Amino acid sequence: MYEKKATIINSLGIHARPASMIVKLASQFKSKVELQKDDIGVNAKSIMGVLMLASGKGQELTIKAEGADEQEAVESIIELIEKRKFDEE
Amino acid sequence: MKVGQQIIMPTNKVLVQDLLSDLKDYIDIDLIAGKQGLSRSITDRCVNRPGYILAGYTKNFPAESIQLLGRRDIGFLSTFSKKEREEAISRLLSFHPPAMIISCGLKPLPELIKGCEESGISLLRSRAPSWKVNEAFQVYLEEQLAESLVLHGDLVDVFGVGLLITGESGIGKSEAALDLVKRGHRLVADDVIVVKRKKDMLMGEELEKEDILRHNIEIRGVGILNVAVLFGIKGIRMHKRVEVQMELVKWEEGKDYTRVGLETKDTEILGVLIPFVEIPLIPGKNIASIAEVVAMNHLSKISGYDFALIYENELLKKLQKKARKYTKLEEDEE
Repeated sequence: MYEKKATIINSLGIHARPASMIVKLASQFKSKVELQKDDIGVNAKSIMGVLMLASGKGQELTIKAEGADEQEAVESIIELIEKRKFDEE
Repeated sequence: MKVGQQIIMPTNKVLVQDLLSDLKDYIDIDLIAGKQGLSRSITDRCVNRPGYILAGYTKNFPAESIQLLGRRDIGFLSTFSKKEREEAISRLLSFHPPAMIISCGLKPLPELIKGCEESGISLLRSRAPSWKVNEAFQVYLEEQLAESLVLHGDLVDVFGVGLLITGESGIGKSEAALDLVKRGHRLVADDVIVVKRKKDMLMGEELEKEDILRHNIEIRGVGILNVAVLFGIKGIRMHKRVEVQMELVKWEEGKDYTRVGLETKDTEILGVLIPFVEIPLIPGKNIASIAEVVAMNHLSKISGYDFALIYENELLKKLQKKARKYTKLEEDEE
């Protein structure tokens, strides 16, 4: 299993569009991918779960993956959140 | 913890201020002293009557519990001399219980107020009688401190049976749930289900607490749908006991699936066993019909009618009869 933390930096946080970007990205990997906020973890390949986390700006999330491409999966989601900022702003 | 598995939330905690605000209307409680103690957490579900410790017996004292002082305890304390009373109260407070509550709207003793204020323990008072305070606290703490976990799947009330539909992403759990709602069943939660253990049963509900954001379902190719809006109030349910788990799996050639239904499987969730049914998917299968049948079969089984078992017994009887007839024929050598 591979896991890493990321902080949301775009101002609106994970609303519908960023959530679908995460899901789309996570679904490209074979590994099981999970997002965790505080004590609650959800499947990163499912839009309802990602939306339900209601993660705002400044929120720290843990991205976990397990499977053949776990490291790549986690790193690319982190890149989407922290570097690309969901292509916003 | 492995990814994609059940995630157990750490034991929930309740702060004294949560208890105060949540039960304020029900048992009419207010804070008398020890405001600093409001941010302390309560981890024990029991409520203790501190009679023994006031009398001087300190062994096995449940220091984690809230201490309830009723008529008897206050009455007992008032029989003491001032010095004895101060000693008894400081003996009790030296264990640093999470909070103290006086019932029946009794007047708090000045030593108690002083002691609580000094040791930073909240002193609450309720107008309700002790038994009611005790009951309210126990029910509240039981609920708040229940073990819980988050599961991925759908929870639907099918003919009154809480059916938990699980399976990997994209296998069709939400579509099955939608189909069930269309047939008149009720959706409890899609995708993220919070399950709490209450004694030997499991209660499932949605993670989302805000009404407007509840009862949504995601259907691939369509998007997010609100079941409450599309199907009305009859299509939703706030919480439901989780009774049967139905796992959807991809059909695998050569894998054994339950055929007769005599051997049943169980799954363990938070230490509670519930029946587990694995349904292999092949094109043309109607999952909603199967889900309805799974629920009906569960109802039938719990009411004492296990069809697979009855079928097997009848079949055995028939075979024995045949066997008897056959031996008779063989013995008859005319």
